[in-house]
Amino acid sequence: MKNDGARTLTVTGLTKEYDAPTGPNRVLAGASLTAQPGETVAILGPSGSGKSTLLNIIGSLDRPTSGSVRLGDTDVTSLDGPALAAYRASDVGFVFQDHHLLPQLSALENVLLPTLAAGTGEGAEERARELLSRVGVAERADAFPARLSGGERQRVAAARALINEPALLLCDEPTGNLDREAGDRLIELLTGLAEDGVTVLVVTHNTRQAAMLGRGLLLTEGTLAPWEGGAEPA
Amino acid sequence: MSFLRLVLRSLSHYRRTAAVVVVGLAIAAAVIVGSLVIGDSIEGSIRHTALARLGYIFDAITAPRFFHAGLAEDAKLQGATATLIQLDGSARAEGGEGGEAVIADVSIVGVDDAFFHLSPTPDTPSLAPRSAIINGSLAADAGVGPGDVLLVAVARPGQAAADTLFARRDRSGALATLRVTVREVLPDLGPGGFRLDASTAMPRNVFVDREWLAQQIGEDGRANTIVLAPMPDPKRGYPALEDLRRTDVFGPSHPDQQRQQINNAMTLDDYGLYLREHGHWLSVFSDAAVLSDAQVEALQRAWATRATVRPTSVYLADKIEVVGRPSGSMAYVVVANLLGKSGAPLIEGRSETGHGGIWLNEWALQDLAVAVGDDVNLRVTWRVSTPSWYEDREAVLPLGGKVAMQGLGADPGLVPDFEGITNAPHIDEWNPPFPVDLSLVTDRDDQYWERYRAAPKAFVSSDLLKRMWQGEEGAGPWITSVRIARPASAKSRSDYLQALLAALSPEAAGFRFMPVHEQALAASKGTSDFGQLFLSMSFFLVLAGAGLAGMLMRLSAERRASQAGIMMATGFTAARARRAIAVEGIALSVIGAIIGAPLGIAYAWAVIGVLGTRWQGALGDAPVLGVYVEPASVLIGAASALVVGIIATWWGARVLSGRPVLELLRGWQASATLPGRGLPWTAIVTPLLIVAAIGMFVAGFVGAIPEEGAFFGVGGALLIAALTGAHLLLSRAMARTGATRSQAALALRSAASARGRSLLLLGLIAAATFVIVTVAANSIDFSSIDVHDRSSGTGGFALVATSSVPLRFDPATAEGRDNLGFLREEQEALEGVTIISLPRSPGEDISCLNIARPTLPTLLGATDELIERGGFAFAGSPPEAAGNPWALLREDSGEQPIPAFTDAASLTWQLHSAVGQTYDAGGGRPPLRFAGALQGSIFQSEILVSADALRAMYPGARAQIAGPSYFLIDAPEGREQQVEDALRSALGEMGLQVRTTREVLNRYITVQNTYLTMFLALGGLGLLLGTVGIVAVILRSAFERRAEFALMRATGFTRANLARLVLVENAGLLVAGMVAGTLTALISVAPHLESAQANVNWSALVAVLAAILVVGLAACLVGARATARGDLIEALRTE
Repeated sequence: MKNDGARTLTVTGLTKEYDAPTGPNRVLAGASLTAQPGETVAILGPSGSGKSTLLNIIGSLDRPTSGSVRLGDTDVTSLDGPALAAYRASDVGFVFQDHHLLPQLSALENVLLPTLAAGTGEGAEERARELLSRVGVAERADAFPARLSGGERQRVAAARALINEPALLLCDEPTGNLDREAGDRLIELLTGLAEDGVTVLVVTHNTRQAAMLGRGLLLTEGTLAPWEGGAEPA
Repeated sequence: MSFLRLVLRSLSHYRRTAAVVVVGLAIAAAVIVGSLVIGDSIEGSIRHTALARLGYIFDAITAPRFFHAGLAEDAKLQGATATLIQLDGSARAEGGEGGEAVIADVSIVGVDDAFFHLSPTPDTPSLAPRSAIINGSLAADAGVGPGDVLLVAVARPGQAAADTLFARRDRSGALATLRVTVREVLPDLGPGGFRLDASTAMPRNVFVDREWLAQQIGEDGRANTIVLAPMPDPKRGYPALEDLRRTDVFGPSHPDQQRQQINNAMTLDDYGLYLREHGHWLSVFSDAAVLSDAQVEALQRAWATRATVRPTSVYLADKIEVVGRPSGSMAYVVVANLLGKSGAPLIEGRSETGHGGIWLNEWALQDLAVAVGDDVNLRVTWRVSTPSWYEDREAVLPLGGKVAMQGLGADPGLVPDFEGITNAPHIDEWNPPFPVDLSLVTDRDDQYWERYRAAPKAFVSSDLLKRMWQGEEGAGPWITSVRIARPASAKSRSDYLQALLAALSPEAAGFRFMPVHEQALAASKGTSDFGQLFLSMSFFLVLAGAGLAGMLMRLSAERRASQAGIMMATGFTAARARRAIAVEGIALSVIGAIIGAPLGIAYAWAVIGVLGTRWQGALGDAPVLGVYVEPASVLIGAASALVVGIIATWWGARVLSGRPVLELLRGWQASATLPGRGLPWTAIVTPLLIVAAIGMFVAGFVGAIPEEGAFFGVGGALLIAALTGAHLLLSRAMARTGATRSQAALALRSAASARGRSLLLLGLIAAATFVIVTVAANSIDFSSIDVHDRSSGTGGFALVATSSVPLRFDPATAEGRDNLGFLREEQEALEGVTIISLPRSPGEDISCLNIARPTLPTLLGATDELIERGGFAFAGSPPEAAGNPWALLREDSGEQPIPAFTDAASLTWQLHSAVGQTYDAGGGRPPLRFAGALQGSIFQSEILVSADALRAMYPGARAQIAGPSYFLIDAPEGREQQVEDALRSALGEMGLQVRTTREVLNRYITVQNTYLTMFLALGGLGLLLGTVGIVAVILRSAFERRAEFALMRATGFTRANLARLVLVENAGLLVAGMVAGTLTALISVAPHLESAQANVNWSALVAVLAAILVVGLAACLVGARATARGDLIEALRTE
């Protein structure tokens, strides 16, 4: 992995408001966090608490109303245009609850998709096969998404997220559509990836799986607080 | 992994959608390529027909008179030549299948073997006297074939100029009838269709042996046309016909050299001149009786420096009598103009003093017993304007003096040779072309004739003699000879002859040097860009194909929104993510264009086939049609289709533009229209538009605004009102509170929630239906036009007639009809009938019936009678002239271009000119300026100039236009047929064609009506295809509303309920659009429909609309069922 451990994720005072007929709806109200390279962090919170919003802002898919996101020296919230696309392509990897694999591409090709965006084609196929092997679906490299199981699709999605050796891996309810066993295997996989220096943020409702990660943060009323274990608030 | 691989994978994965997109784009490509190929094919057909009829003939030399048949050989012209005689005439079969009906406008071509060797099919048999080869058109019209006998009437070239008293006008003198046996029928496509002008009309040709024809018309050993072909390559011979489409295939032509060679080889006789020596006088005469102004000028120029040159003129007086003493008279006296400025005769260089008036020679003086100072009455027949042509006029002149019976006082050498007069041994053997009363001739007259022949007895001033020749017209040649007094050191006659020939030019004598091959190629460009024309008529087809592709591309883009989202989430820029879909579209456009190109050629082939049969009327006198494919057109068409595909793709892919990545990741969600607050703006605009439409309708009805303006105004306002009304209805449907109880109300609410889409669908269908209905409703039929209305396109004339040859007498007068040989019952049939006879130049039809670009339009001479009568309707604002716009034709200043009128349709579409513009009439004629344009008139084939201007344009060829060949006939109501029969019976042999003006107008309007029919068919097909696209619209809507439908199913809606809902919603929009389009169109064209000329093919229109409705409803049903089943949506989602 290309991370040298110097790129710390620093989220400071994030707020996010949406316009609503009844007035502004504040989802985030000054959320802050810091995560070191190689750290795995679970983000928990009740439905509608803004977990996905927080993750989307960190991944630059959404913009905050105020506050900042920094990855190492990069001010993510100030990126725009090609720099933003480059950030998404090289520095961050996403794993969604719905895998979002392109149906017309094989597993291998789906993994390779971000290399097309980043222009990192050289040696990419070998790296993609390694990743598929690492996530345990090497033998399904040529299969199309329609032929893969839910767990396999998420593993392929994880491999796709890692193909450009990101510093940050953002996982939004990655096990939401998986059975317990497949979900646990995916969490084990993610913790294993962190050993290479990747910062892994996982949004989840599953406290058991959250406990398998390095630490937890609880998002309530728009702010983050350490999760000390136990049941997730409803 | 590469971008290309991504695109290919996507194309492969979404192949079903891709296939339909390709079909849509291929249709668009096929129609564009096909339309251009149709244009090429029409152009190619005109070109091929012209090249086939000309063969290897590149140049032609034509003359208004006959020259010696060896001229081409004497001139040593380069290349192969053939000498021809070309004459106009008529033909009828002797007992053939077609009966004995006279076929007018027949070309009689005298040829020898050399002629057929200039064509690619030289194996035509030699012609013997009394045998003929005819072409297919004539064979079909006359109903004759090999072995049948054909009676051919040809105009016999007259010796004297046809517009003079001395021209032979009786029927036997004017016409020669040839009886020939048809030996072979040649196909029209080839030398059988030979004609030198660029008209697309197929001629009716009779080829006979040239030498024999020359004998039959009294022009033995002479001809009037030379055709030239370049020398073929010694090794390879002539190239193939299609290779002759290049003008430079034989290298540069040398027209100046040709002119010079002809000039050098021409004899005095070829110019129609002859020399006569008389003492020390040398006189030049014309066999046309009078010398043209150009000839007189040339003669003076040639000899002025070396001798005394004197233009002279003689005329025949009917009678000279002493005033107050009727017994003292003489009949048929030749009068000369030998009076000088002082009024005294200039005789032998000796001038006798005395006052002006008339001088008589001693013989006449003695016969009349008259003294100097007595008044003498001189009576002559002279030319007056139509309708009488010639009338007796008298002048009282004082006797100025006596001329001795010597020298010019008794010189028959002053008088040109008049056939039937000067060659008669005795006066009582005269056979003049005009009536004479030989009982007036005395023994003294006979003695004078025997002694002095036609020597003038009387001498008057040049002005008077000039008036005798020119008559009331006041223009035209009048010099009968130019004589020179050779000095004592006289050179030989040949020296004078050489000087004279050097001063003459073939062009001044009316010879025309025509680069016919080049002209044919230029004309083959056609009067219109037929490619563009057919493209515009197929516009709906292109739009339907491209629209279908665009809608599917959009649907494809929408349902792949989440893919664009994931691409952006993984580092693609938004533009690059869209580009992936756009490149797919471009790839499909390329495939569509590649598939569409050959389909386009097939489409062109089919349309050309129909143009040759069912839509034959569109091209008028069309050439033999074939399919000609120009690679450039296919490439341009395919490239255009590619652009159309790219635009459709761009339109489809742009749906993803500007959407946030998170929105894309969630997948496509259409946003529904929300109910607005308060009154929609359309609640105010709609009634205003309706009021405006009513206002414009009324204004158009009462003539306050032009009909066209009212049509566009009413149509536009009502169409927009229909849309704003629909907007209002849908807005109200959204704003309505309370429960939505019925399924129809629910469907309306659904349509209202997607208001933009609903209005677009309704608007497109309404606009397309509007165009189709209005186009179909504009069909016209003139069968019920009031032909007696002078302000109509007929000018109040019920009939119009044309003769193949100019008539020598004017059929407008009883006297003229007598001379033309009308029987008594034919005369009676014409009582109370007004005929206006017009001279007409040779030339090409400029109406829509001739699709070749005219290079030498036919000109009609508007006589004073027509100008003063006026009438007809003018396009736009009538030209300004005191009371009568026609008077503008007389405003010929002599320096400015000649004022001209023609029909507005011909002016715009055929000549590509406009009122106020100057136009080159071709053939070396002076430029014209269009002073006005007639609206929907019978003059669509010709350009009108004043008759005087027309005659002045043909100084060397007056015979061709001297007599009238175009006749406007104002026949009383109910007697049209009787008049037509009488004229046809009396003048059929002259090739007279009589048509009702209704027929003439209908012939022109057939072209427009056929185009309207074509548009109805092609436009209807386009709309039909467009309605198939409704399926795509429904599916797109269903995809957007998949969650809504799932919810409805979950709450108890059956599939049938769902299908009915979708069907009612979309079929409602379809029907509403069609009803709106049809009603607004019918209201807009109501004034036209109410007119007598409206001729709508309602059954065809209803059939087209019904087909569109049925196909549209079927499309709605298919879409609704698929939506309800859910399988298609599922297929779309998971394809």
